Amino acid sequence: MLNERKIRLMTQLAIYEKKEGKEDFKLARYYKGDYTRFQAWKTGVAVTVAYLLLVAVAVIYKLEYLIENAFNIDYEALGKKILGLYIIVLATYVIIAMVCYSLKYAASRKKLARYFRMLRKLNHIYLVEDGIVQEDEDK
Amino acid sequence: MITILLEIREIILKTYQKVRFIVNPAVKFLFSIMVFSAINTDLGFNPKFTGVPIVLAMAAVSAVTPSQVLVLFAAGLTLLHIYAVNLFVAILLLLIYVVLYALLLRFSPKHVAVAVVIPVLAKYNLHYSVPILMGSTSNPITILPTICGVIVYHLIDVVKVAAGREVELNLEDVVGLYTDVFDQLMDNYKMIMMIVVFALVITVVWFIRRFSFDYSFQISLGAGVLVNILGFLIADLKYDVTVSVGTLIIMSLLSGIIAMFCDYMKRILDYTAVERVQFEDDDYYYYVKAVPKVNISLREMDVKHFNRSAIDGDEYEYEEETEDEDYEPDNAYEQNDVEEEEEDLDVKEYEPKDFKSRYALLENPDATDAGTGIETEDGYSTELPDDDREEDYYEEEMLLDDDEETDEEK
Repeated sequence: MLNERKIRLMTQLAIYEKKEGKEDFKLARYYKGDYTRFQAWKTGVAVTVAYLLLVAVAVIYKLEYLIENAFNIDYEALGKKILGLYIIVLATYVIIAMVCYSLKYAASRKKLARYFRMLRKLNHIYLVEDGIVQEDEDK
Repeated sequence: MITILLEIREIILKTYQKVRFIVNPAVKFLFSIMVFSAINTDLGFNPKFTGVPIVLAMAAVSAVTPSQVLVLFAAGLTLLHIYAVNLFVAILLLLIYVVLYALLLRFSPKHVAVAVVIPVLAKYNLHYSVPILMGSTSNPITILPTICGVIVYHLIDVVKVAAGREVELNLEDVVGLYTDVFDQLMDNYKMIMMIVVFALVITVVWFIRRFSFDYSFQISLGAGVLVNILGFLIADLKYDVTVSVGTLIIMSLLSGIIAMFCDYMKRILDYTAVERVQFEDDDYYYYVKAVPKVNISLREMDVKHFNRSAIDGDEYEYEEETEDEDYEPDNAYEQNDVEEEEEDLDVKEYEPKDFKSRYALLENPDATDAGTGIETEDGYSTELPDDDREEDYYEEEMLLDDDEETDEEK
């Protein structure tokens, strides 16, 4: 005998697993802090690479000036400037990334909570079917 | 009038449900052809890649793969074309692509296609629709890919000119070339203004549509169009960026309409997705095709039913009623092939909205006219569910069973 309510639940569970679930399960392997930190690290690496490339480009761009004034440039000040800018850019990106990824984590957590709720309902149906609990018995 | 419109919509939806599996890749295929031919016309330096079979093959692959692949192909194609005439510019372009990806594109994997959509639509002056659409369907993080699209659009022009230059293999020439390219990019007020205006448009549209007042969605689109027009006019006056005012206004308005249409379609498409899933229990294998209901008046009728039980305050029964809402007695079940009418998960997300309207309807029974309240009261409404509402919904459910928290923690 087909149990329609059960099929309905299983369908919803299957659709969730097929679509949003994939991503949510991946996130569920991490604690919130770990996940955001990991993403922040990745962002940091990407920003660093991009920044290094930009510095390289800037060097080429100003190459003429750099060669001409090779002995007059205050390298310490220049280095501080480049480093300072790097820290600002990095900090901005990492903060934004942490906020965004923690929001994403929270959203996935909610969807996952719903998924578990459905699972529990399904489990209850199984228990009823197996005669372990009564139909009207509360969870 | 509204009834007729709704009927038409229902017909469109039902037809779309049937042909969805063909229409979606077909649209993507056509757009991919547009992208690749645009690149070939603009930068067709390498005749090996301008042939129709190559374009068709790439478009075919892009049609059935995620949009990231399309972007990758487009980037690769531009690089190959430039490489055919000028190695140094190709290296520079690759470098810029890496920077753009690392700083702008990687944060919004779903929206990477914007990076190619803007340059292509800009040919028809329709790129104004992109930020409006981004604001109305997503969040401000989409500013990043939008900026990337704007930069790519201007970058291609600059690179095209630079690639044509004769460069000897000596430091002076190469440095001169790079300096020229960067000068042109950095001093490009048009690009900078476009970035600023687009970022503003996205923020304004997103900000306004989140309000709960009536017609906030339409107002947000209007505001987006207005910001767009004003922004470019100010840019025109202050920085002498040449913009044809007539085209700007007409195309901005048109873009607003397109954005509205796209958003409407997206909403519909999210709901009408027919899902095919397989699972099993101890007794059966199930092959389920879940077809979302498009019949809205039916849902409206369920609404009252739901509400009464909620007001009665019997928590357990309330839970049961939610289940019954979905109950469809005349579903045809065959042996192992279950055809089930089922609301999509996406529709479920809108329940908090219904919830409110249900209370409202109960308080004011005169308003229960099933035919009318649809546009605003149900999932197809003009507003996306914002986080607060979802919050309410979850809190509501949390109250229903107290052991929820512990489960969630696990």
